[in-house]
Amino acid sequence: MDDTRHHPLDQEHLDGNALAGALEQFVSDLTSAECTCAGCGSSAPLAAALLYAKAPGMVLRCPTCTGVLLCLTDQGGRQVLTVDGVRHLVIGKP
Amino acid sequence: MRRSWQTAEVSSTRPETARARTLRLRLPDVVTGVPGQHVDLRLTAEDGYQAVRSYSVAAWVPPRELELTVEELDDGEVSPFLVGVLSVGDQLEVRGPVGGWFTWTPDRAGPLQLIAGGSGVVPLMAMLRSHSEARSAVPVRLLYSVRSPDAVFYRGELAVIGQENTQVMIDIAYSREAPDGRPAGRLTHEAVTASCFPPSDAPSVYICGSTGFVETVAAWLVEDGHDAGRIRTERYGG
Repeated sequence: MDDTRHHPLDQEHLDGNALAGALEQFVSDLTSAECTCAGCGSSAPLAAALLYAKAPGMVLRCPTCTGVLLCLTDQGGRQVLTVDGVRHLVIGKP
Repeated sequence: MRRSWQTAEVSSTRPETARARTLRLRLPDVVTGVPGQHVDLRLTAEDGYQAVRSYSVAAWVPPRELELTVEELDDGEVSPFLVGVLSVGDQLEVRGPVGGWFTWTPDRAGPLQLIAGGSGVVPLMAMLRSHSEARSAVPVRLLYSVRSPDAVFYRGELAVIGQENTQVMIDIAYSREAPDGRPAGRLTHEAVTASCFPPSDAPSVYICGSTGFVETVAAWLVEDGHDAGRIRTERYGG
């Protein structure tokens, strides 16, 4: 018998398809999203962060601590977004 | 918003200064945008090399056109082509309009404070034009810092707006060379303070220019007591 499969919690989960509508909000304009830096904890819109576009790829740094928030690189025509430095992104007015 | 590349055609051009010109582009579909947004242009060389650059939209011309003003950079890879070579009827790949933070619409609260360094005036001009077209009652001040009189973009139109629209005050500050009888010199903190709404008016502030210009002016305004949360900035590459 598979424990995980019959765990009560397991009956309640959906799948990522159901997030499609909610995540659409993050697609319309991500630069307006309020980004919290995983390094120093400060927040600012992505549009106010510091972009280094002459690096191999695009590197976006925190305007407070200059730690790397995210990197966007082109790898053989595929766009790869690395978001290690982001704790969270918030969409919507306060 | 369009997320994919589409092909636009140059429908007209006009010079703004000896080193800058306005390009009117016609898109295949209806285009709607917000003042302050930009588009990405993609150019492909014969050998397949591609270059992508962002340019602020200076004017929206419904239903299908928009205008960009491009200044030629000495070491530019793309701007000399856009300013000196591209002709009416030529095609370009365009993505956008994009961007949602450095934008202003007439329903935004408070007076509108615009501060431009050089070609940073382009997205602010889109805001000013939108303000005029909407016959907005929002008071506006534009401080435009520029090297010399012959480097001023939209000179005639700014003069008309400044004279005819009582809601708009325009100050041009000359850093190297000024018209007769006026001082020239680096923009100072005092001059910026004098050309801006006071913090008590809680203006929405938009600053666009080179990285150094934007950071210096934004820091002065915060020092003056403006809420950093009401200051929006856009830096362009030099």
